[in-house]
Amino acid sequence: MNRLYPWLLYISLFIYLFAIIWGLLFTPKDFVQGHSYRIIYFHVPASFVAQSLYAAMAISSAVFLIWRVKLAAYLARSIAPIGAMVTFIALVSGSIWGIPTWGTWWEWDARITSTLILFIMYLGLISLHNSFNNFDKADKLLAYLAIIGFIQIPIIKKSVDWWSSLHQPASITISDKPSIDPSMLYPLFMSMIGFAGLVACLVILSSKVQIYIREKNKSWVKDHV
Amino acid sequence: MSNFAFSSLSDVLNMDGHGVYVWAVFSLFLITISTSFYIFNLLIKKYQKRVK
Repeated sequence: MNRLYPWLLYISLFIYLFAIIWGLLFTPKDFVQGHSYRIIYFHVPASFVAQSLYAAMAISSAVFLIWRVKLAAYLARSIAPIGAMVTFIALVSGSIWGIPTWGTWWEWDARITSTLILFIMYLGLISLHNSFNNFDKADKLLAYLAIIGFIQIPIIKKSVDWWSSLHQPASITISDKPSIDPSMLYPLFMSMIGFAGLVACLVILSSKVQIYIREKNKSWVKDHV
Repeated sequence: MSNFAFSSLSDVLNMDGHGVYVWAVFSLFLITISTSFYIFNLLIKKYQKRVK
């Protein structure tokens, strides 16, 4: 992991910076939203990664509960603060985008409210885990709640289709052709890949912290340090 | 890649009045991500010292 980390960090940083420069300075102005649409290169990667991180947390929680893999529990706990931070970026960037686009920074709309619930869930899982002195109990409870809370992800995804919403429907879907012009779409894809890589680096760092906290008395950790 | 979308630096900053929103989000991104890397590296150093 130590060898992989600098490669992942520098490649992701390069991809993300390239995508941001392309998106902010070289893509044409949007016909309807003007230049404010350029917030898409921050908001969409953050929203996509916020939901993906929750899915990753639920999967690692399931791995921990089924196969009793301790590292999976550490990973689930490591993902929670990064997930909260990324969801916070998605919420704030969306709110700022709402001012020029909708004329309001906040609306109790299905997509925004469900994303706020995701943010509160991340914070709740962190607080719950921190409230236990016994790591085993804390890990189990976090795993069960993370799996139960996974129901939130399809709700966020489908909220714009199920309820009438100020938020626009998804511009990129697996089944349909993207509704966004290719000149804007390619930097968007690149920004999503680059940002996901940067967040993966943060998860690696956060996992290291968890390992040092939990395994500090083990000889292999001492050897590693 | 398309052509440069602006004619001057002030155009880039202003973005027809939307610059304040776009650059605010850019700053939020930059500060949040760089602070997170800084904090996690600091925590790693702190716990490495404890392990030693």
